[in-house]
Amino acid sequence: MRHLRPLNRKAHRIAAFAAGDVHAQAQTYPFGCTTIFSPGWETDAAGGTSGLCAPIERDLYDCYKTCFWPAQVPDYLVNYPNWAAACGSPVQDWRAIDLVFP
Amino acid sequence: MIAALLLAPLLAAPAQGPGIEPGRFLWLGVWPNRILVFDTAKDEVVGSIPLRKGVAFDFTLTRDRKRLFVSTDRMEGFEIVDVPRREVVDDFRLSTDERIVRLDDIVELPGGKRVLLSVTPVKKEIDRYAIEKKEVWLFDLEKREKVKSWKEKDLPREIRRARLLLSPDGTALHAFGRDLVVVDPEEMKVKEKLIELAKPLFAGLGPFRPMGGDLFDYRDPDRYTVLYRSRDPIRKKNATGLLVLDLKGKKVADFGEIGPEFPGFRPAVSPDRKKAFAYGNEHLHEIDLVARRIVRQKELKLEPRRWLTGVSVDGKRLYVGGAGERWDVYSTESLEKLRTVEFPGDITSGPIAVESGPL
Repeated sequence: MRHLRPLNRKAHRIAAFAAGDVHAQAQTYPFGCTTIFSPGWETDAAGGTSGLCAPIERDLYDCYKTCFWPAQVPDYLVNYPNWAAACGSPVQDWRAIDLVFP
Repeated sequence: MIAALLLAPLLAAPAQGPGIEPGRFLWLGVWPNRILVFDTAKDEVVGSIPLRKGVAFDFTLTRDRKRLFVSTDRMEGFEIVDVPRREVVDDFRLSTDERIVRLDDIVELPGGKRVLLSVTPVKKEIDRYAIEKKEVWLFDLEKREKVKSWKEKDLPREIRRARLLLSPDGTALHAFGRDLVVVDPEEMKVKEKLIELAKPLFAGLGPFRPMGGDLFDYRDPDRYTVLYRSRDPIRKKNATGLLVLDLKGKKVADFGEIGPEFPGFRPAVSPDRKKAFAYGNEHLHEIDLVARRIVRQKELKLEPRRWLTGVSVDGKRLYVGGAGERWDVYSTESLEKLRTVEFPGDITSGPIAVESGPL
Protein backbone atom coordinates (compact mmCIF):
# COMPACT_ATOMS: atom_id res chain seq x y z
CA MET A 1 0.00 0.00 0.00
CA ARG A 2 2.98 2.34 0.34
CA HIS A 3 3.02 3.01 -3.39
CA LEU A 4 -0.73 3.42 -3.80
CA ARG A 5 -2.77 6.48 -3.00
CA PRO A 6 -6.53 6.21 -2.40
CA LEU A 7 -8.58 8.50 -4.61
CA ASN A 8 -12.21 7.64 -4.15
CA ARG A 9 -14.31 6.85 -1.08
CA LYS A 10 -14.09 3.08 -1.42
CA ALA A 11 -10.31 3.26 -1.78
CA HIS A 12 -10.11 5.36 1.38
CA ARG A 13 -12.05 2.72 3.23
CA ILE A 14 -9.71 0.01 1.96
CA ALA A 15 -6.74 2.09 3.04
CA ALA A 16 -8.25 2.56 6.49
CA PHE A 17 -8.90 -1.17 6.64
CA ALA A 18 -5.31 -1.95 5.68
CA ALA A 19 -4.08 0.49 8.34
CA GLY A 20 -6.07 -1.39 10.95
CA ASP A 21 -8.32 1.55 11.79
CA VAL A 22 -11.48 -0.48 11.36
CA HIS A 23 -10.28 -3.73 12.80
CA ALA A 24 -13.46 -4.51 14.73
CA GLN A 25 -15.62 -3.84 11.71
CA ALA A 26 -13.42 -5.99 9.53
CA GLN A 27 -14.09 -8.91 11.84
CA THR A 28 -17.80 -8.58 11.20
CA TYR A 29 -18.92 -11.31 8.86
CA PRO A 30 -18.92 -9.69 5.45
CA PHE A 31 -22.39 -10.47 4.21
CA GLY A 32 -22.40 -9.43 0.63
CA CYS A 33 -19.15 -11.11 -0.32
CA THR A 34 -16.44 -8.52 -0.68
CA THR A 35 -13.50 -8.78 1.66
CA ILE A 36 -12.28 -12.34 2.18
CA PHE A 37 -9.09 -13.18 0.34
CA SER A 38 -8.34 -16.60 1.77
CA PRO A 39 -5.95 -18.49 -0.48
CA GLY A 40 -8.55 -20.99 -1.56
CA TRP A 41 -8.40 -24.72 -1.78
CA GLU A 42 -4.63 -24.85 -2.01
CA THR A 43 -3.95 -24.57 1.73
CA ASP A 44 -5.93 -24.71 4.94
CA ALA A 45 -5.89 -22.19 7.78
CA ALA A 46 -2.67 -23.70 9.13
CA GLY A 47 -0.91 -23.47 5.79
CA GLY A 48 -1.10 -27.20 5.16
CA THR A 49 -3.52 -29.43 3.31
CA SER A 50 -4.77 -31.82 5.99
CA GLY A 51 -7.64 -29.52 6.89
CA LEU A 52 -9.03 -29.34 3.37
CA CYS A 53 -12.08 -31.20 2.21
CA ALA A 54 -11.40 -34.08 -0.14
CA PRO A 55 -12.62 -34.04 -2.79
CA ILE A 56 -12.93 -30.26 -3.01
CA GLU A 57 -16.45 -30.61 -4.38
CA ARG A 58 -17.55 -31.62 -0.88
CA ASP A 59 -16.77 -28.11 0.31
CA LEU A 60 -18.18 -26.26 -2.67
CA TYR A 61 -21.66 -25.50 -1.38
CA ASP A 62 -20.54 -24.43 2.08
CA CYS A 63 -18.34 -21.82 0.42
CA TYR A 64 -21.08 -20.87 -2.02
CA LYS A 65 -23.77 -20.63 0.66
CA THR A 66 -21.75 -18.57 3.12
CA CYS A 67 -19.70 -16.61 0.58
CA PHE A 68 -16.47 -17.77 2.11
CA TRP A 69 -14.34 -17.75 -1.02
CA PRO A 70 -15.98 -15.19 -3.27
CA ALA A 71 -12.95 -15.00 -5.52
CA GLN A 72 -13.28 -18.69 -6.38
CA VAL A 73 -16.99 -19.42 -6.04
CA PRO A 74 -20.08 -17.46 -7.07
CA ASP A 75 -22.06 -16.21 -4.07
CA TYR A 76 -25.48 -17.52 -3.18
CA LEU A 77 -26.44 -14.69 -0.85
CA VAL A 78 -26.40 -11.80 -3.30
CA ASN A 79 -25.54 -12.36 -6.93
CA TYR A 80 -25.98 -15.95 -8.09
CA PRO A 81 -28.80 -17.68 -6.18
CA ASN A 82 -29.50 -20.10 -9.03
CA TRP A 83 -25.95 -21.17 -9.80
CA ALA A 84 -26.38 -24.59 -8.21
CA ALA A 85 -30.15 -25.01 -8.46
CA ALA A 86 -29.84 -27.98 -10.81
CA CYS A 87 -27.27 -29.89 -8.79
CA GLY A 88 -28.01 -31.31 -5.35
CA SER A 89 -24.57 -32.69 -4.71
CA PRO A 90 -21.41 -31.56 -6.54
CA VAL A 91 -19.55 -34.74 -5.55
CA GLN A 92 -22.10 -36.76 -7.51
CA ASP A 93 -22.96 -34.43 -10.35
CA TRP A 94 -20.79 -31.34 -10.60
CA ARG A 95 -21.34 -31.10 -14.35
CA ALA A 96 -24.92 -29.97 -13.69
CA ILE A 97 -23.72 -26.79 -12.00
CA ASP A 98 -24.44 -23.74 -14.12
CA LEU A 99 -21.86 -21.36 -15.56
CA VAL A 100 -21.64 -17.75 -14.49
CA PHE A 101 -20.11 -14.85 -16.36
CA PRO A 102 -19.28 -12.10 -13.88
CA MET B 1 -18.99 -43.04 43.38
CA ILE B 2 -21.23 -41.05 45.72
CA ALA B 3 -21.36 -38.25 43.17
CA ALA B 4 -22.33 -40.74 40.50
CA LEU B 5 -25.17 -42.07 42.64
CA LEU B 6 -26.39 -38.55 43.32
CA LEU B 7 -26.38 -37.72 39.64
CA ALA B 8 -28.05 -40.92 38.51
CA PRO B 9 -31.67 -39.83 39.17
CA LEU B 10 -31.07 -36.60 37.30
CA LEU B 11 -30.03 -38.56 34.25
CA ALA B 12 -32.96 -40.95 34.30
CA ALA B 13 -34.58 -41.69 30.96
CA PRO B 14 -37.40 -39.35 29.95
CA ALA B 15 -40.96 -40.55 30.21
CA GLN B 16 -42.00 -42.22 26.97
CA GLY B 17 -45.55 -42.71 25.93
CA PRO B 18 -47.06 -44.74 23.15
CA GLY B 19 -45.97 -42.15 20.59
CA ILE B 20 -42.71 -41.80 18.74
CA GLU B 21 -39.56 -42.45 20.75
CA PRO B 22 -37.63 -39.23 21.42
CA GLY B 23 -34.63 -39.04 19.16
CA ARG B 24 -35.88 -41.51 16.58
CA PHE B 25 -36.27 -39.03 13.72
CA LEU B 26 -33.53 -36.59 12.83
CA TRP B 27 -34.37 -33.71 10.50
CA LEU B 28 -31.66 -32.22 8.32
CA GLY B 29 -31.65 -29.55 5.64
CA VAL B 30 -30.25 -30.53 2.26
CA TRP B 31 -29.48 -28.71 -0.92
CA PRO B 32 -31.23 -27.03 -2.66
CA ASN B 33 -34.53 -26.54 -0.84
CA ARG B 34 -35.75 -29.31 1.42
CA ILE B 35 -35.67 -30.94 4.82
CA LEU B 36 -35.16 -34.69 4.99
CA VAL B 37 -36.59 -36.85 7.77
CA PHE B 38 -34.10 -39.57 8.71
CA ASP B 39 -35.34 -42.59 10.64
CA THR B 40 -32.56 -43.76 12.98
CA ALA B 41 -34.34 -47.05 13.57
CA LYS B 42 -33.94 -47.99 9.89
CA ASP B 43 -31.01 -45.78 8.84
CA GLU B 44 -32.94 -44.41 5.91
CA VAL B 45 -34.75 -41.29 4.74
CA VAL B 46 -38.48 -41.66 5.31
CA GLY B 47 -39.75 -38.19 4.52
CA SER B 48 -39.02 -35.00 2.61
CA ILE B 49 -40.39 -31.53 3.35
CA PRO B 50 -40.08 -28.97 0.55
CA LEU B 51 -39.23 -25.44 1.62
CA ARG B 52 -40.62 -22.34 -0.08
CA LYS B 53 -37.54 -20.11 -0.15
CA GLY B 54 -34.49 -22.21 -0.84
CA VAL B 55 -31.69 -23.50 1.34
CA ALA B 56 -32.25 -24.11 5.07
CA PHE B 57 -29.57 -22.29 7.05
CA ASP B 58 -30.63 -22.93 10.62
CA PHE B 59 -33.31 -24.57 12.76
CA THR B 60 -35.08 -23.40 15.94
CA LEU B 61 -37.54 -25.82 17.50
CA THR B 62 -40.28 -24.50 19.77
CA ARG B 63 -40.46 -25.92 23.29
CA ASP B 64 -43.78 -27.65 22.61
CA ARG B 65 -42.01 -29.31 19.66
CA LYS B 66 -44.89 -28.45 17.33
CA ARG B 67 -43.27 -25.74 15.21
CA LEU B 68 -39.87 -25.51 13.61
CA PHE B 69 -38.50 -22.13 12.54
CA VAL B 70 -36.23 -22.52 9.53
CA SER B 71 -33.98 -19.70 8.38
CA THR B 72 -34.20 -19.58 4.56
CA ASP B 73 -34.56 -17.05 1.74
CA ARG B 74 -30.81 -16.43 1.60
CA MET B 75 -30.94 -15.62 5.33
CA GLU B 76 -33.39 -12.81 4.62
CA GLY B 77 -36.37 -14.53 6.21
CA PHE B 78 -37.70 -17.65 7.83
CA GLU B 79 -40.36 -20.30 7.36
CA ILE B 80 -42.46 -22.12 9.94
CA VAL B 81 -42.85 -25.88 9.60
CA ASP B 82 -45.77 -27.56 11.31
CA VAL B 83 -43.99 -30.54 12.84
CA PRO B 84 -46.91 -33.01 13.15
CA ARG B 85 -48.05 -32.23 9.58
CA ARG B 86 -44.50 -32.04 8.24
CA GLU B 87 -45.21 -29.09 5.98
CA VAL B 88 -44.40 -25.40 5.73
CA VAL B 89 -47.36 -23.34 6.95
CA ASP B 90 -46.00 -19.78 6.85
CA ASP B 91 -43.04 -17.71 5.70
CA PHE B 92 -41.69 -14.25 6.50
CA ARG B 93 -39.33 -11.94 4.64
CA LEU B 94 -37.33 -9.34 6.56
CA SER B 95 -35.56 -7.45 3.77
CA THR B 96 -37.01 -4.41 2.03
CA ASP B 97 -36.10 -2.59 -1.17
CA GLU B 98 -33.70 -0.34 0.73
CA ARG B 99 -32.14 -2.79 3.16
CA ILE B 100 -31.05 -6.38 3.14
CA VAL B 101 -31.68 -7.91 6.55
CA ARG B 102 -29.68 -11.05 7.27
CA LEU B 103 -31.14 -13.28 9.95
CA ASP B 104 -28.56 -14.67 12.39
CA ASP B 105 -30.74 -16.26 15.07
CA ILE B 106 -34.35 -16.84 16.10
CA VAL B 107 -35.44 -17.16 19.74
CA GLU B 108 -38.93 -18.26 20.69
CA LEU B 109 -40.62 -16.16 23.38
CA PRO B 110 -43.19 -17.10 26.03
CA GLY B 111 -46.67 -17.26 24.58
CA GLY B 112 -45.53 -18.34 21.14
CA LYS B 113 -46.82 -15.24 19.33
CA ARG B 114 -43.60 -13.27 19.28
CA VAL B 115 -39.97 -14.11 18.59
CA LEU B 116 -36.66 -12.35 19.03
CA LEU B 117 -34.62 -12.03 15.87
CA SER B 118 -30.92 -11.32 15.84
CA VAL B 119 -30.20 -9.61 12.52
CA THR B 120 -27.48 -7.87 10.54
CA PRO B 121 -28.90 -5.08 8.37
CA VAL B 122 -27.13 -4.13 5.16
CA LYS B 123 -28.03 -0.79 3.61
CA LYS B 124 -28.11 -0.66 -0.18
CA GLU B 125 -26.09 2.39 -1.08
CA ILE B 126 -25.95 3.59 -4.67
CA ASP B 127 -22.54 2.01 -5.27
CA ARG B 128 -22.07 -0.48 -2.44
CA TYR B 129 -23.57 -2.39 0.43
CA ALA B 130 -22.95 -0.83 3.87
CA ILE B 131 -23.03 -3.38 6.68
CA GLU B 132 -24.67 -1.88 9.76
CA LYS B 133 -24.40 -2.80 13.43
CA LYS B 134 -26.21 -5.92 14.55
CA GLU B 135 -29.73 -5.47 15.88
CA VAL B 136 -32.19 -7.45 17.95
CA TRP B 137 -35.81 -7.32 16.83
CA LEU B 138 -38.95 -8.10 18.77
CA PHE B 139 -41.07 -9.57 15.99
CA ASP B 140 -44.82 -10.23 16.15
CA LEU B 141 -45.77 -13.31 14.16
CA GLU B 142 -49.48 -12.41 13.99
CA LYS B 143 -49.00 -8.79 12.92
CA ARG B 144 -46.09 -9.94 10.76
CA GLU B 145 -43.98 -6.94 11.71
CA LYS B 146 -41.19 -5.69 13.91
CA VAL B 147 -42.58 -4.31 17.16
CA LYS B 148 -39.34 -3.02 18.69
CA SER B 149 -35.65 -3.14 17.96
CA TRP B 150 -32.41 -2.53 19.78
CA LYS B 151 -28.84 -2.12 18.62
CA GLU B 152 -27.01 -5.14 19.96
CA LYS B 153 -24.18 -2.96 21.28
CA ASP B 154 -26.66 -1.06 23.48
CA LEU B 155 -27.92 -4.15 25.28
CA PRO B 156 -26.73 -4.98 28.82
CA ARG B 157 -23.57 -7.04 28.92
CA GLU B 158 -25.37 -10.00 30.50
CA ILE B 159 -27.61 -10.17 27.42
CA ARG B 160 -25.29 -8.98 24.68
CA ARG B 161 -22.67 -11.62 25.30
CA ALA B 162 -25.05 -14.40 26.18
CA ARG B 163 -26.96 -17.09 24.38
CA LEU B 164 -30.67 -16.30 24.55
CA LEU B 165 -33.16 -19.12 24.79
CA LEU B 166 -36.62 -19.91 26.06
CA SER B 167 -36.64 -21.68 29.40
CA PRO B 168 -37.38 -25.43 29.25
CA ASP B 169 -40.86 -24.89 30.74
CA GLY B 170 -41.58 -22.16 28.18
CA THR B 171 -42.37 -19.40 30.67
CA ALA B 172 -39.30 -17.15 30.64
CA LEU B 173 -36.49 -15.89 28.44
CA HIS B 174 -33.09 -16.97 29.70
CA ALA B 175 -29.65 -15.62 28.84
CA PHE B 176 -26.80 -18.08 29.22
CA GLY B 177 -23.61 -16.10 29.61
CA ARG B 178 -21.26 -15.62 32.52
CA ASP B 179 -24.32 -16.25 34.68
CA LEU B 180 -27.80 -17.55 33.95
CA VAL B 181 -30.19 -14.59 34.02
CA VAL B 182 -33.89 -14.03 33.29
CA VAL B 183 -34.57 -11.38 30.65
CA ASP B 184 -37.62 -9.21 30.04
CA PRO B 185 -38.12 -9.64 26.28
CA GLU B 186 -40.27 -6.52 25.96
CA GLU B 187 -37.54 -4.24 27.31
CA MET B 188 -34.45 -6.44 26.90
CA LYS B 189 -33.41 -5.84 30.49
CA VAL B 190 -32.24 -8.28 33.12
CA LYS B 191 -35.10 -9.18 35.47
CA GLU B 192 -33.28 -11.56 37.74
CA LYS B 193 -29.93 -13.28 38.14
CA LEU B 194 -31.13 -16.87 38.37
CA ILE B 195 -27.94 -18.85 38.95
CA GLU B 196 -24.45 -17.47 39.41
CA LEU B 197 -21.89 -19.32 37.32
CA ALA B 198 -18.96 -16.91 37.06
CA LYS B 199 -18.18 -16.97 40.76
CA PRO B 200 -16.46 -20.26 41.72
CA LEU B 201 -18.47 -22.36 44.11
CA PHE B 202 -15.47 -22.79 46.37
CA ALA B 203 -11.77 -22.04 46.52
CA GLY B 204 -9.71 -24.04 44.05
CA LEU B 205 -12.52 -24.33 41.53
CA GLY B 206 -12.76 -22.16 38.41
CA PRO B 207 -15.90 -20.47 37.07
CA PHE B 208 -18.29 -22.53 34.96
CA ARG B 209 -18.45 -21.60 31.28
CA PRO B 210 -21.42 -23.45 29.75
CA MET B 211 -20.91 -24.80 26.23
CA GLY B 212 -23.67 -25.50 23.73
CA GLY B 213 -27.29 -26.23 24.49
CA ASP B 214 -29.06 -28.63 26.80
CA LEU B 215 -27.73 -32.14 26.28
CA PHE B 216 -31.21 -33.59 26.61
CA ASP B 217 -33.05 -31.27 24.22
CA TYR B 218 -34.79 -29.22 26.94
CA ARG B 219 -37.09 -32.12 27.80
CA ASP B 220 -36.82 -31.56 31.54
CA PRO B 221 -38.77 -28.40 32.52
CA ASP B 222 -36.91 -27.98 35.81
CA ARG B 223 -33.29 -28.50 34.80
CA TYR B 224 -30.59 -27.67 32.33
CA THR B 225 -27.93 -30.29 31.75
CA VAL B 226 -25.04 -28.74 29.87
CA LEU B 227 -21.37 -29.25 29.27
CA TYR B 228 -19.10 -26.71 30.85
CA ARG B 229 -15.54 -25.60 30.47
CA SER B 230 -13.65 -24.48 33.53
CA ARG B 231 -10.11 -23.30 34.08
CA ASP B 232 -8.38 -24.72 37.08
CA PRO B 233 -6.92 -21.70 38.94
CA ILE B 234 -4.06 -23.76 40.38
CA ARG B 235 -2.97 -25.92 37.47
CA LYS B 236 -3.95 -23.31 34.85
CA LYS B 237 -5.54 -25.97 32.66
CA ASN B 238 -8.98 -26.17 31.09
CA ALA B 239 -11.29 -29.04 31.94
CA THR B 240 -14.63 -30.17 30.55
CA GLY B 241 -17.47 -31.39 32.71
CA LEU B 242 -21.17 -31.91 33.12
CA LEU B 243 -23.27 -29.28 34.88
CA VAL B 244 -26.83 -29.72 36.15
CA LEU B 245 -28.74 -26.52 36.98
CA ASP B 246 -31.83 -26.65 39.16
CA LEU B 247 -34.15 -23.95 37.82
CA LYS B 248 -36.73 -24.27 40.59
CA GLY B 249 -34.15 -24.20 43.38
CA LYS B 250 -32.09 -21.57 41.50
CA LYS B 251 -28.81 -23.32 42.16
CA VAL B 252 -26.15 -25.60 40.73
CA ALA B 253 -27.62 -29.02 41.43
CA ASP B 254 -24.55 -31.02 40.52
CA PHE B 255 -21.40 -30.92 38.49
CA GLY B 256 -18.51 -33.18 37.70
CA GLU B 257 -15.37 -33.06 35.63
CA ILE B 258 -15.17 -35.45 32.69
CA GLY B 259 -11.61 -34.77 31.68
CA PRO B 260 -9.28 -32.25 30.06
CA GLU B 261 -10.69 -30.01 27.38
CA PHE B 262 -9.85 -30.95 23.83
CA PRO B 263 -10.67 -29.15 20.60
CA GLY B 264 -13.80 -30.01 18.68
CA PHE B 265 -15.60 -31.40 21.71
CA ARG B 266 -19.09 -31.73 20.32
CA PRO B 267 -20.80 -34.73 21.87
CA ALA B 268 -23.69 -36.76 20.51
CA VAL B 269 -25.87 -38.06 23.34
CA SER B 270 -27.67 -41.37 23.25
CA PRO B 271 -31.48 -41.13 23.60
CA ASP B 272 -31.39 -42.96 26.96
CA ARG B 273 -29.25 -40.09 28.35
CA LYS B 274 -26.62 -42.43 29.73
CA LYS B 275 -23.87 -42.22 27.13
CA ALA B 276 -22.32 -39.56 24.99
CA PHE B 277 -19.80 -39.84 22.20
CA ALA B 278 -17.37 -37.16 21.19
CA TYR B 279 -14.62 -36.83 18.64
CA GLY B 280 -11.43 -34.92 19.27
CA ASN B 281 -7.68 -35.23 18.97
CA GLU B 282 -8.21 -37.93 16.33
CA HIS B 283 -9.92 -40.18 18.85
CA LEU B 284 -13.50 -41.25 19.34
CA HIS B 285 -14.43 -41.02 23.01
CA GLU B 286 -17.25 -42.80 24.76
CA ILE B 287 -18.40 -40.93 27.86
CA ASP B 288 -20.43 -42.47 30.64
CA LEU B 289 -22.71 -39.60 31.65
CA VAL B 290 -23.76 -41.26 34.90
CA ALA B 291 -20.23 -41.94 36.13
CA ARG B 292 -19.04 -38.78 34.34
CA ARG B 293 -15.90 -40.18 32.86
CA ILE B 294 -14.47 -41.27 29.54
CA VAL B 295 -14.78 -45.04 29.49
CA ARG B 296 -13.42 -45.85 26.05
CA GLN B 297 -11.25 -44.26 23.38
CA LYS B 298 -10.41 -45.44 19.92
CA GLU B 299 -8.07 -43.86 17.44
CA LEU B 300 -10.05 -42.69 14.46
CA LYS B 301 -9.11 -40.24 11.75
CA LEU B 302 -12.17 -38.62 10.24
CA GLU B 303 -11.98 -36.68 7.02
CA PRO B 304 -11.56 -32.91 7.41
CA ARG B 305 -14.74 -31.08 8.35
CA ARG B 306 -16.54 -34.23 9.46
CA TRP B 307 -17.89 -34.70 13.00
CA LEU B 308 -20.37 -36.69 15.04
CA THR B 309 -23.92 -35.63 14.25
CA GLY B 310 -26.11 -38.08 16.14
CA VAL B 311 -26.84 -41.41 17.74
CA SER B 312 -29.50 -43.91 16.64
CA VAL B 313 -32.59 -44.31 18.78
CA ASP B 314 -31.39 -47.70 20.06
CA GLY B 315 -27.99 -46.25 20.93
CA LYS B 316 -26.16 -48.78 18.75
CA ARG B 317 -25.02 -46.60 15.87
CA LEU B 318 -23.25 -43.28 15.51
CA TYR B 319 -23.64 -40.91 12.59
CA VAL B 320 -20.69 -38.94 11.26
CA GLY B 321 -21.68 -36.03 9.02
CA GLY B 322 -20.51 -32.57 8.09
CA ALA B 323 -19.65 -31.09 4.73
CA GLY B 324 -20.91 -33.18 1.85
CA GLU B 325 -23.88 -35.35 1.01
CA ARG B 326 -23.43 -38.42 3.20
CA TRP B 327 -23.34 -39.78 6.71
CA ASP B 328 -21.01 -42.54 7.76
CA VAL B 329 -22.54 -44.99 10.21
CA TYR B 330 -20.37 -46.39 13.02
CA SER B 331 -21.11 -49.08 15.59
CA THR B 332 -21.12 -47.84 19.19
CA GLU B 333 -20.00 -51.31 20.28
CA SER B 334 -16.97 -51.81 18.07
CA LEU B 335 -16.55 -48.17 16.97
CA GLU B 336 -16.04 -49.58 13.47
CA LYS B 337 -17.59 -48.10 10.34
CA LEU B 338 -20.65 -50.06 9.23
CA ARG B 339 -21.96 -48.31 6.13
CA THR B 340 -22.53 -45.02 4.35
CA VAL B 341 -25.88 -43.28 3.85
CA GLU B 342 -26.08 -40.95 0.86
CA PHE B 343 -28.55 -38.09 0.63
CA PRO B 344 -29.89 -36.51 -2.56
CA GLY B 345 -28.22 -33.19 -1.77
CA ASP B 346 -25.41 -31.68 0.29
CA ILE B 347 -26.27 -31.16 3.94
CA THR B 348 -26.90 -27.53 4.81
CA SER B 349 -28.20 -27.61 8.38
CA GLY B 350 -29.07 -29.85 11.31
CA PRO B 351 -29.64 -32.55 12.23
CA ILE B 352 -32.18 -31.87 14.94
CA ALA B 353 -34.32 -34.38 16.82
CA VAL B 354 -37.70 -32.82 16.25
CA GLU B 355 -40.49 -35.23 16.94
CA SER B 356 -41.00 -36.86 20.29
CA GLY B 357 -43.48 -38.81 22.33
CA PRO B 358 -45.35 -37.19 25.21
CA LEU B 359 -42.92 -35.33 27.42
